[in-house]
Amino acid sequence: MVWELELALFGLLVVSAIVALQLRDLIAAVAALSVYSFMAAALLAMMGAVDVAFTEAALGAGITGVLFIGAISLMHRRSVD
Amino acid sequence: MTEQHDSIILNFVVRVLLVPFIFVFGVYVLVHGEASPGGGFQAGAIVAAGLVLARLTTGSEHGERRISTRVLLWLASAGIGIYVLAGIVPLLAGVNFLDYAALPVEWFNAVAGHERTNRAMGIFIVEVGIFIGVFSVLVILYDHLTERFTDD
Repeated sequence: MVWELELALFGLLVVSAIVALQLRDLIAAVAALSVYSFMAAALLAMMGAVDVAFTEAALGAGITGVLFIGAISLMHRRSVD
Repeated sequence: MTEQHDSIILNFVVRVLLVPFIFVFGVYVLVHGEASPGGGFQAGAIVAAGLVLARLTTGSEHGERRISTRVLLWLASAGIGIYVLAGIVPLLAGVNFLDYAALPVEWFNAVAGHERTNRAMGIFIVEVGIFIGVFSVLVILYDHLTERFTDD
């Protein structure tokens, strides 16, 4: 479609993935992962896979964030490695 | 994340404005899943997100939940049961597993007042099963993550 927008979305996707890997605060990492999921959903919608984008937006950006934070609340908030 | 927030604005916005809209949108995605993007899995994820949102604002330590984890477990089993039944009934009629054309659902056309083929009805029944299963399992996951390890 608009290749500049697609390139910008893809850049944000890669940056948010790297940020999610590098962060030591796990709740911030979950937020970065939600950004990653949302960018992936937007990219999939632009490529015409609306069904997959729908699932990615509902599950990746919605439910998994809550589930990850629920899991982090049971352990240490900061990564130690 | 499991205590109640006594903010009237938060309660009103989430429980009166947001969650009913999310539920209606989820059911819309479910019933339009054959013709447009959507379907049982996406609708289940959306409705589960609405239920989890309601649970995040009301908290779990004050009072009983409207839909308890035990009921959700039954619902999840019922969802799988609907799917399996839609597969077994054609098998008993003598055709292949999940061959929707053999499902005895012609009576529904008279009830609904418009014609749908058996195949469309079969797909819809399976999607309802997936919908119930997915939303129950996702909310059960949330319930088990936030409970404070009290054996019941």
